[in-house]
Amino acid sequence: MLSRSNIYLGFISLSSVLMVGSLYMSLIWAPTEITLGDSQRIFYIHIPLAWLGMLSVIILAVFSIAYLITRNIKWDNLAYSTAELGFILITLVLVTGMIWSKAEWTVWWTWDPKLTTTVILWFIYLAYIMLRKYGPSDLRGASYGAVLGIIGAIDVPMIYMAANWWSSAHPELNIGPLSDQSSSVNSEMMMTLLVSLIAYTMLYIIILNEKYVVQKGTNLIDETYKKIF
Amino acid sequence: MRLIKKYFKSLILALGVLSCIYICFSSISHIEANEIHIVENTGLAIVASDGGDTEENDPFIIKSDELPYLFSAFFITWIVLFAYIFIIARNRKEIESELYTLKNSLEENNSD
Repeated sequence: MLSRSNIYLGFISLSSVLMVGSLYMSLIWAPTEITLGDSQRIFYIHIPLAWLGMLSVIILAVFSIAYLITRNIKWDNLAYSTAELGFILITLVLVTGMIWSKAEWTVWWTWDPKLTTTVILWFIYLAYIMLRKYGPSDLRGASYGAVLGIIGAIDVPMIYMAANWWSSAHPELNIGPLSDQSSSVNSEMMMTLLVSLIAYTMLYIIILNEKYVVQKGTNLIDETYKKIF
Repeated sequence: MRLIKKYFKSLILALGVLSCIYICFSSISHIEANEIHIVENTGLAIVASDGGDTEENDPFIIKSDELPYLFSAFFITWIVLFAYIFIIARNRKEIESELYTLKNSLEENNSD
């Protein structure tokens, strides 16, 4: 019978299989890039993390708008869970990017437009989390956070288009809907990237769901204590 | 939550096995690449599989000095994700036990 828990179990199993497949494809199956060498394989973890980090801030903005319209605490719980996960992902994007930069450009950091706009996103997430942790603990805190979450989403198109808009060490877009179709990626590399994107997105959904359950439980306990005392 | 723990255990195992296979594979490829260059030094022409004939275009060459960067990127990412999952799992356990205690004490108060 297709109960909710069975569907979730199937989803976790499929995600696990895809993740193992993604690791195999990234480290073994995909061909080694001729000029960049083995460090190019960082691409298969760096891009999914970046995609999810940017997706998180868009989801954060959507949940924030939903919260401001409905004032339902469910949307705020989802927004906070998304922001925390997004912060972890963007931190990992910066770390993997720095490692790749050291391997290819021989420096850990450069003030490239894409890197700079990504650091701005990292600070937006940090500001959101600090505001929620140390700001007003009542509904005002949730409202301030929602406004910051909506403003933060403006940074996403800037990160995505940074290499096209400004002079950058990053290559111009060669994947995605706005990419230059003439500079297409090798089909095996593209397949590996797609599997990685799906696997990491499924893992993201699982972690987000778990974080949301924890956040909801924390709020429930706080509310109960407020009612008792 | 048990399922997620199993999921991550299987992933650690898979990552370890894949790392070992990859290191072995890379070492063999590197030895093959060195052999090709020994032949090249004797004056025999080597043509790379993509049609290029320069050392830069040789797909057999694996820059082994880049492997530490590759593994550190994967390793750090997975360590951070595992740590985060561990923290969430621990928090969930604490919240579940606190909710259970709270529910029991509320029921006791109501019955009194």
